[in-house]
Amino acid sequence: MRNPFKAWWRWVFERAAFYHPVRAEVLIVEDVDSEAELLSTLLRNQRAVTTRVRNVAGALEVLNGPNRFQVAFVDLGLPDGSGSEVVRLIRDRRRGTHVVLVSGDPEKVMLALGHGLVTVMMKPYAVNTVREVLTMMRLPHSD
Amino acid sequence: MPTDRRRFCLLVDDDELVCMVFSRAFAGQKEFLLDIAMTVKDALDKIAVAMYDVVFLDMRMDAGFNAGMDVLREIARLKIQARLTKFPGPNTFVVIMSGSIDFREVMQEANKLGAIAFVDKPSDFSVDFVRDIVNQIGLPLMPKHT
Repeated sequence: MRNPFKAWWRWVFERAAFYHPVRAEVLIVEDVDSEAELLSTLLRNQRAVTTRVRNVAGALEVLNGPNRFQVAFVDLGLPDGSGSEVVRLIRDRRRGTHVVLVSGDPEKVMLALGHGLVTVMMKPYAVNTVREVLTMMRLPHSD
Repeated sequence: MPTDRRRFCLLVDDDELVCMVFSRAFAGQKEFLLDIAMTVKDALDKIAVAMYDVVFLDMRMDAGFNAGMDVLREIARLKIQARLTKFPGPNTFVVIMSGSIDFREVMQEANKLGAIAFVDKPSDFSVDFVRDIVNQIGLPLMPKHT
């Protein structure tokens, strides 16, 4: 039988998470619109604030700005260079930002693993994988 | 939403030096509890009993060239099982510490295993390196241990 008290607490916690003043700031570096849109939607559902750039130059511009990103999702194949350049830039400018490489090709990922700790999300990825990253980072999410 | 509970970490490595460095890095840290498994069997036993938040895993151990893969598969299995049964299962985040050659095998199965972090194990394995890894996965800053 459904416990109404438990349901009430669940409702309270869900609202508390929704109105939580702290939002995770996430950078998305992705050139393909549909994929960026999908990832952005998944992250917004987890209450994150997303900033999207299309290439290495855009990433450099954003990283020189005041935003403090907790997580950066970086696609490896970018039009003006490789995603590993973006990883290097993040390591130089934002040491605390956690980098998540998104790719479909294991061989490309292997080449980009020389820049410290990097999480890898292989395509096609599950929604749970995105949630796992946010949970690990102790960021506000919908759970 | 951020919580204040302690983080339960497991180190799976057969190298005594690495275990010692980790123990020193985590010594006196109120936010963390560190558990160490020096064999694959020991790691599998521990994973079956406790839900760890983070597992630091060395892929190459005495039991075989890719012995860590068994631990990784078991963690993935427990996660899937928990999801299917809707029972609160482990939300374990795995950090693989190895030479880059060992990553190739994991990459083939990375899709099934969820989010996995990789880091090259440096030749001068130090407390600062451990602290740097822990900070990069968003856990609270660990002050210098004196």
